[in-house]
Amino acid sequence: MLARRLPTVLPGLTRVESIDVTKIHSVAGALPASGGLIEIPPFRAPHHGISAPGLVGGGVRPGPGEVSLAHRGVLFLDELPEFRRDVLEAIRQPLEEKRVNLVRVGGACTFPCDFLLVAAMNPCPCGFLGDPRRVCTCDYRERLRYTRKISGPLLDHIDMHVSVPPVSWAEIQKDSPEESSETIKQRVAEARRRAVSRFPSRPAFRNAELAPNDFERFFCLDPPVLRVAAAAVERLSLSSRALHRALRVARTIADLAESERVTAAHLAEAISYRPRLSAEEANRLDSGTLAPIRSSPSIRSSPKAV
Amino acid sequence: MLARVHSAAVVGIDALVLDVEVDVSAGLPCFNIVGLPDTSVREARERVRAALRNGGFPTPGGAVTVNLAPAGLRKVGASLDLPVALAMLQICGLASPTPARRLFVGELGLNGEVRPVRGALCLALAAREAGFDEIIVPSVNAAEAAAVEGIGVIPVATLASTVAHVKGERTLAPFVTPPAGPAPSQGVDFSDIRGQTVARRALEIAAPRGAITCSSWALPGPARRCSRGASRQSCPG
Repeated sequence: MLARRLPTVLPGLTRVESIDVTKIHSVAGALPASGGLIEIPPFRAPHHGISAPGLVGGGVRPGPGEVSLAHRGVLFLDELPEFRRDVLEAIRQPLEEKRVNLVRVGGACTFPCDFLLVAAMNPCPCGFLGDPRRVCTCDYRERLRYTRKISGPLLDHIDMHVSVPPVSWAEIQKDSPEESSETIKQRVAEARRRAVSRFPSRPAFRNAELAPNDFERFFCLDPPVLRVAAAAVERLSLSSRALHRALRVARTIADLAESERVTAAHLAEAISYRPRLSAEEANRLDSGTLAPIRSSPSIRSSPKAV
Repeated sequence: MLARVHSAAVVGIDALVLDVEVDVSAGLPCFNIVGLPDTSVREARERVRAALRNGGFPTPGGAVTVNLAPAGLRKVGASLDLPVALAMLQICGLASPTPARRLFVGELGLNGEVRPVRGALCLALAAREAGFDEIIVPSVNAAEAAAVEGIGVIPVATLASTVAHVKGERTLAPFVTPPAGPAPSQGVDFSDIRGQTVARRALEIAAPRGAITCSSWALPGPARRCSRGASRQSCPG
């Protein structure tokens, strides 16, 4: 539902991007009947029965897979643990490199795959784990088997992890209209403009491309921000790679807030999207023997909450 | 007798310009395609022969050899049907030798219609890079190929109209891209979704960051606190 709406807030494709995307869809025979260039970011949601060549591309005569068809758009993997493990592992390298190199006897070809990955999963096989109104009927092993389908390195590539609780009746009944895609799109476009304006020499720059030394060169981090970072590294055992990923998210949060500097609140929010608990810790937490690390459910968390 | 027509074939997401050479010599009637053709390319001989006959054109007698140069690269797809047919018609003297700066792609139906091919945009880009002035494409692919500026895109629907164009009897006009209308609605909108503030916020942050920004979430998630399964996705509280 929500993921399907993500392309509606993404800025339209530039002409160069549009030609790249159309080329891939054209070769795959996946162009819409109307023909012409694809001008809106593509959205791909393959079924979880997909094979590794279907997802990353392949075949005797190499053709683009779903990751390449999602180039400059969104790849949505629903029911993530239902995908075969080897299929999920196959997207790790494309995620990192933004292209797939297929080598066959007849030659090698490269397909670009610069996509935004969105995935969804249930908390456990029965789907009620953590639901205040229903009882989860899965035992420990079932839950472990379910979540272990997704490897740590793949989870590490996912920058933001959020939980989606059931909507309350009060929210369903609410009269006030929700924010439209058009309004969000304007904010997103403005945030992207800010990101591009920092690097005039790099067209179509996005914060996801920020290198660790860019932070030192371009953003003087304030002492409060450094304190939040230190707390995250020490108390949450965040690796330096995870911290840099959180800093990139924080830069985007600051861009959305039209702020020149990354503040402690921005970084705290970014860190709140990291998966922090190991399966073992979470299990203890679930059984009530480990206190929750954070108590504030607010998404605009204060630095104190971290 | 020898005839040569330019064409192109898709390799990965790019295309390579090819020469389709046809030679007809005296001998027992046969039809061979050489130059590493894929099955779909080799089957062109059946389509081309039927399309020529049903279109009311003669087929050359004798031993027909089609060479796809460069011969060392594997050719895939049915887009070489049209150039093979045109080269054969040149040998019969029905289609005058084509100007050098013209490139043809298209699959043929048995009745002589020109069917769409895959990768028309890549083929048109390769043709422009190679300095061609004109690319003849199936009419269904014209809108896509016309996105390439600096090359005339001629849409054709049948083998007969292609021949008429080549002979200059009835010249076809290049495809003109109609002015872009308003962006089509995607049919969905964020305002359709009630609640889910956190997930909305996460998607909004993901949007401007571009690639490798990923979010994952669970449905339904924990409402009170982190639990084991849910911790894989999130920690809202």
